[in-house]
Amino acid sequence: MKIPAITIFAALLLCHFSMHAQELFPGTEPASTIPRKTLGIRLMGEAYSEGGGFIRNTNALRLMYGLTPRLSVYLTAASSNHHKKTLPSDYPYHNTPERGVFKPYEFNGLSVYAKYRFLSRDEEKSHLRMAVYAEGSAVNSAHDEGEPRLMDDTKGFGFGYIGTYLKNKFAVSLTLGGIFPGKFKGMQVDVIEGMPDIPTTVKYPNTLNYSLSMGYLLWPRSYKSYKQTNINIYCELMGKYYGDTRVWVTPAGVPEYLVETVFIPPALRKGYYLDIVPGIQFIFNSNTRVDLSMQLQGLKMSYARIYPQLNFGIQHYFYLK
Amino acid sequence: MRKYLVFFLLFLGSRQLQAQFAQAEVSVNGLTCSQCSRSVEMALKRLDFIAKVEMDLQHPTARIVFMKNKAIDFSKLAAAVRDAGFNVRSIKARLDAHSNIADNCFLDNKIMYFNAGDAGQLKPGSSLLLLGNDLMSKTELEKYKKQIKQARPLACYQKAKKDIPFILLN
Repeated sequence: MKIPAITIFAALLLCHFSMHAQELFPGTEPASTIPRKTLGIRLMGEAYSEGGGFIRNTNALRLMYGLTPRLSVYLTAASSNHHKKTLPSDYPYHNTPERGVFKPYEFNGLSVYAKYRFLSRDEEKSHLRMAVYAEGSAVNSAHDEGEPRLMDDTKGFGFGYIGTYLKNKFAVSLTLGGIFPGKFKGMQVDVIEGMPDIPTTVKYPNTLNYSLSMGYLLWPRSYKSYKQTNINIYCELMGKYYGDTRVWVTPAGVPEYLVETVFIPPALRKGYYLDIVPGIQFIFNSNTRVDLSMQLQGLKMSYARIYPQLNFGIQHYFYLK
Repeated sequence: MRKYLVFFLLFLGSRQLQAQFAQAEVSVNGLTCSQCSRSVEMALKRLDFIAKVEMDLQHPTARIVFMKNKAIDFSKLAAAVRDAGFNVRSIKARLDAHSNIADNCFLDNKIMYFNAGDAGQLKPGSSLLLLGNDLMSKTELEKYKKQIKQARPLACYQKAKKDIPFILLN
């Protein structure tokens, strides 16, 4: 059997570098926690083109603090141009998700996250760590699609498990979690001009989120100084499985009714997807971390973005006295 | 007479404050990135008895120089490593070259150190490998099992608040 030259080259490249595994994933959290009495500040951004000159972007500022060696807490403030004050007109039958229209760039709200590392099996060149996390959000946006995200789309809470294993050249991390969004109560503009806005309630679906992340150190080949710039590469598989969204509408003169599932569009129906997210990371002075990644369509698709989505992150630790 | 007594007590006090340890090498498990090493270094620097920390990034080890005239507590040192999110693999401590220790059991900062190994005689400048659950990983402890005597610690100081066994390295 003839082995393609590129496979041999890739294998040689992997073996040649004396790589240490990396678990500072750009898109997901590892089981490791923030050092105690350390404040981390992270600025994140996501952007994709919706066509017609519209670039949708989300930005977030995250404060992270190591309360104890095993417990970290995060506070995230998010803003985006993904939502209008009201749901699209004729929601949920049409215009879901609503594309190619102006949506103001606004503050979405705050969310909190706590992670507790309950297991550490550390050896000289390997470790196995496990953690549980819980998150809650006060965000309450007029979010078109069913797929929820607590950071910038929906209020609610979530919890889950993270397991990270690292050995010599290989690091892998698995996240499994649940998201339990609350209800959004708002308005949609009636399609008939002059009619009053229609009160609309949306119950976003309970969701399972899952990810499998891998990372490698490309440079330096051996650590000599804090001043060496680290270059890490990552590949993350990230996705969600969610149920049907339920929508209640109350047009003028009609009692509130639940829209039957057969009438709701795919973006609000039960679904799942798995995105492929390759990424590269630069760490300067062994502290300031810059992440760049691209979210690509893998299995099925998310209606909450248009592929490819570009992700950016910059993070710095402050070691407090 | 009273003046001489006060002078004598002050002299004794100053002897007690004199740290018996000059340096240590702390090997850390789970350090796989230079950012992780930096976190350990910053956690160690918070301790008031540490004068200098240098991280060996290739073999994740912290080389520590202790402050003179400060009480040294290796358990606090191990706790600082845990604060950074990692665990101590082993601690090798070097006695001060001018220490007055010549016995295989001595007291420093109300902590009794005793030789749990089966050979050697302490002298100023000796290197000790500290044993104990929080000062050494289980895997590492297993390696030195043969060298550790199964004997009970020598109770050379009854009033010690805790004891730390060690193996004499040189």
